[in-house]
Amino acid sequence: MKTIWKLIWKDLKTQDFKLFLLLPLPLIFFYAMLQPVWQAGAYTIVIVLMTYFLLAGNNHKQLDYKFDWIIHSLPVTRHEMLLSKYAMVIVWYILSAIICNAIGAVYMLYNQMGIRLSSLMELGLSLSVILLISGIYYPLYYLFDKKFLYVNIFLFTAMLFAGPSIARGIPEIIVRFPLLLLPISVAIFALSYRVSFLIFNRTRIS
Amino acid sequence: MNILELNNVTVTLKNFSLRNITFNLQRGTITGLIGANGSGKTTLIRTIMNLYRHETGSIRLNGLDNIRDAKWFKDKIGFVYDESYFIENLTIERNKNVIRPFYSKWDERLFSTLLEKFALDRGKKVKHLSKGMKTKFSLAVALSHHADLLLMDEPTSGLDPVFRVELLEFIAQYVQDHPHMTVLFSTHITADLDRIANHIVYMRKGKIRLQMPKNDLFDRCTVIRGPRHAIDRLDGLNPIGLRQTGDTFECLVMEPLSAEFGDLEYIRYPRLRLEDIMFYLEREKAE
Repeated sequence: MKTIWKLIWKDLKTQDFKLFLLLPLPLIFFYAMLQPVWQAGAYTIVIVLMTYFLLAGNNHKQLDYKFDWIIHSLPVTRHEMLLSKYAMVIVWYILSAIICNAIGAVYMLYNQMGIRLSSLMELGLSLSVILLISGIYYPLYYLFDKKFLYVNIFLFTAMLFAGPSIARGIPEIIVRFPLLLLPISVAIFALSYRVSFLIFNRTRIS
Repeated sequence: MNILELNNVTVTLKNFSLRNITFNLQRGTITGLIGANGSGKTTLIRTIMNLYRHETGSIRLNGLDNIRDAKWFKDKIGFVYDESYFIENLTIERNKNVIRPFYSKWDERLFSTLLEKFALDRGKKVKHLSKGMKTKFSLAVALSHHADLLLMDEPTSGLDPVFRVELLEFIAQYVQDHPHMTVLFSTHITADLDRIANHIVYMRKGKIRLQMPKNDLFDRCTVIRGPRHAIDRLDGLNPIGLRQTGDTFECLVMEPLSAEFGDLEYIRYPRLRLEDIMFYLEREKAE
């Protein structure tokens, strides 16, 4: 368990500071675009996007520098490496939720809109969605490593453009499936871990 | 006493395989892994580090298995890659801070001493270091947790001669001062091994072709040159890399000679260098 914390700490330390500086830009873009449907899930989509941005950015940065080679030479098992990557999803999610709410509050204060933080339902929904997305992302990441970077850029761009439309549909999702999505996402996330482990355990690091 | 034991290790990659690799490293030795490009040196080192999985056999360090006991196995190894894989945008200090918590015996004082010795500035970003400085930083990290085995993959490639000699001399001195330390390093610059290695492992086409103490190798090896008509005198000597050009021949012999003849030229250590031996061994492949 100690090693998992060390690996999590490693990911936080290696995260590019510039990434945090860049984040307010897409956030403001989304808040501005989603103003007419403000009640309808702006937080959900922004938290999901931000979590994915931090998660994929950090992983690909380490791939880019081949820093994973260093990690593989450290006293760490592949099982621990993988477990920490899945745990990082939750860490990035919590960080994103905090930052989004803080920026959202500042934005609303500035526009004299009255502060509204994300609801529990929005948090639950964004967690479900990010578990689903990362559940798909990780097996592909371990299967294709560098090649997946290009697919990833495409996925992220698509999410960026589809975001506002999806956000408008979110209230309906919340009303229809308030409690169903989270357990399904958790199950898929757990299954994804198993698949990733099978892939990663056999992978030749190159 | 053996520190590293490889027993019948086989690895299959897409276009290459290591077959039945068996060798041992004795504690306190510096072993040079040599062979032409593509002979399997890097694959072997990466397999020891579990970057590649072996299908058969076992790899043990002080009795610890490289897969089953991966964590403790790697805790006792200092690893230097042929390139720097640190986060380039981070400083030496921040890279070290990421790595340090993983080792059970990290010695901050030793790390500081090594940085000082190598004239490395903690606050400098890795991307601003020269190739030689990056190798020195890798070495400082590899040595700062009191590893039993230092594994280095082509550590001197791309370094200028002054840096190379400096680095090799440091390693030789370090091993002398720390008798528990064992070094295995791959290189295709055989002059590096002439300088510091005391054991040689020679690889070709994914197999170990020979392994022995360097002194024994030099004791046994003789390059023989002479007129073509005298070639019969090599009978029973198993000449390696025999080449006949015009009226002359030349070859390597790895057996003690029972007789010498005045019309033949015998080249032995110190005139004979590792590079020459490797040259004949490689030529044997082409025959």
